[in-house]
Amino acid sequence: MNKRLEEIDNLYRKKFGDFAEDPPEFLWDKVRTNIPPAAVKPGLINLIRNNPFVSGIAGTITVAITAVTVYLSAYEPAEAPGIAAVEENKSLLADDISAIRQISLLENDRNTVNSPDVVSNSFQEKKANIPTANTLQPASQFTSPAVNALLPVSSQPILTENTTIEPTDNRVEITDNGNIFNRINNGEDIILEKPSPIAPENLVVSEENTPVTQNPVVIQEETTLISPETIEKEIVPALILTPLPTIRLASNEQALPEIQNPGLQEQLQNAPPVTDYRRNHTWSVGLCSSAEILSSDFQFAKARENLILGYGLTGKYEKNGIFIESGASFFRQSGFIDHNVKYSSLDSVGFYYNVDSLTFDAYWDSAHQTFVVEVVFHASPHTVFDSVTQSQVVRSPSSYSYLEIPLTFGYQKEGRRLNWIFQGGVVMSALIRSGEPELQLSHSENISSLSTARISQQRSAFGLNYFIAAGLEYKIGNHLGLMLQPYMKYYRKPLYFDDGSNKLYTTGLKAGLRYIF
Amino acid sequence: MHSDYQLIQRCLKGDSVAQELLYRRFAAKMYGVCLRYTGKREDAQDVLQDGFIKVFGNLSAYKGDGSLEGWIRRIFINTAINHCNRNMFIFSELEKNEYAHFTPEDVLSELSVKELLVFVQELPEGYRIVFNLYAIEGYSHKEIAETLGISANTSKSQLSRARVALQEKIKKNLKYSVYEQTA
Repeated sequence: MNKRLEEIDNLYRKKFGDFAEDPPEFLWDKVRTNIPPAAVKPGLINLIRNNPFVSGIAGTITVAITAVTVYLSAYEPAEAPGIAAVEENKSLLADDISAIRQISLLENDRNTVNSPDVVSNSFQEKKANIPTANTLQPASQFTSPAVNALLPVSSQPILTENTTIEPTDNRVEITDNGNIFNRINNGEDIILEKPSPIAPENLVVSEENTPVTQNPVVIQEETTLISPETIEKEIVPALILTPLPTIRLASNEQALPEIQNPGLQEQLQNAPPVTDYRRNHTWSVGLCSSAEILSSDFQFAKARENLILGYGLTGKYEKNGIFIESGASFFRQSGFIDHNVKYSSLDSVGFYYNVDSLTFDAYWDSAHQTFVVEVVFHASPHTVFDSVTQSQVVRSPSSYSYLEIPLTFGYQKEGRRLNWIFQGGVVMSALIRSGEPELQLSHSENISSLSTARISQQRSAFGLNYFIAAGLEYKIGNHLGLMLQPYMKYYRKPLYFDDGSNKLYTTGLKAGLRYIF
Repeated sequence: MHSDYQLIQRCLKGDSVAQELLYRRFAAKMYGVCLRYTGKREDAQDVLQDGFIKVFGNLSAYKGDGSLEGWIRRIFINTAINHCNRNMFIFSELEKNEYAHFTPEDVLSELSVKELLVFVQELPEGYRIVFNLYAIEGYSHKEIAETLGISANTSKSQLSRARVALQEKIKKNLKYSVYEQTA
């Protein structure tokens, strides 16, 4: 019998498999006017958002492009100072202003400079004998014949009255009219440069009276002078053979001439060790906040759940640009929990009339000349209730707090004001607070039975994600930096129990302050 | 002819031409679904309208896991179910002819789709929905029970009664002579 009844199933399945009927035309107009506004997302962004693989590639490309850009912008091709200086010197007599400001001591002059005659004179005495910008003095005005001989004719050293040369702890500062020169070592040459803050890394300056140079010295002054009249006021005269403090190339000690001044030798022995004023390693702490946006196809990730806010404190050790960073941060994620609720409730299914009494009304109908008896039912309505089983998805708000422990490594490219930071590592997260309130049913009246089943995934206690970031740090002061760092996380172990089909990944922006000790 | 992916992307950008193309592509089939699940054409049109609004509103949720038509069809089925009266499973028992003989296939095949559609539409809501889900969509009783929030046994009994009711309607509408010959 059942088999025969099932034939009707086959009949309908066969007839209605591709059943179609054109709807009335006016329906499209109704549909069109009620279509919700499109949440327009650019195609590329949509593609990146929906595809973790593409997202990873896009992130990698972004980091690579940023790194190359930073490298190229920071790269300055090295010049050949000695050669450049000679070329400049040729035009010095023709009032070439730039040539006045770039004088070179060539390699073969080194020994001559190191003469006892020069060494024996004090710095101030030397300075007093140096011609000023007002009167270009011939080389013979120098006390030391050796020095005069050393200088090319076109390389008259000129100092203004305001020029001072002061040795400091680890570097030389040449001050002229308020301009401070720093001396740097550019491999082969020693360069005095204004106004670069870069100091020599491997020079030892110990005594102001010993103009010993190892290599040609080039003074470069980047300020452009317009006319010779301005020289007196603005030009920074080149200084070469004035009594420079002793310059020693730590990396090339075998080439150092022997120091004959006993006082200088003693000072050299007692001199503090050479250190790079930039400090090749630093400790720092950072306080930052972050905002992340869930980017993956997370089933219940709607607007409220898409945003993750965090705060963190990290410590960082950096050496020669390479750093390691770790700390702790907290982030909070709000969301919803969906429950499938099945319940039976008593509900009205109709009503009936209950006859309470029955009366007979008898009267004489004079029109028809008959005696009439009418039956009157006195009834009252009664509502009928029955149990109705229903199913409903109930959504309730939730919030979760996580502790994150990052362990990251990176490279930091230092600039004058901006540091570029490239960072990657792993971040472990632990659920420390789960705010899932009791399920509240708004229709609790007359519920006779109830069963609930959670639809939303359970949160996992621990998570692990891979972290990659590329950002920058703006130096507000010597010890304080402002961080701005876009980043991406890929959750190897998501924050919720998952069947593995969906991997959570997020993109975010971290901003904060860093204090450098 | 646009592929489903292209069409969806354009719809997501708010392209009204693409939206109309999508509507035209599936409207007839979905209207057929609506007619099967609802008792009146006016109701079917309401369901069709609501269903397409849901489709356009949730188009971004379609991930291409299955066919687009299947995804849209599920939306329309759910919309039709939600459109029905929640008391649809409270019915009086069919008291007679429950085990009446059924007509052979050759007789059934003479019935037109429109006649069969009318028979289904005349069924009580609960019978109609369970029958559609089981016989045409291919749902199991367990799936029907989960979808409708009823027990599997209720689904079975609703299906059984739907079949009997359809049988009765078919018998009444067949030519008496044909029925008598085969009965």
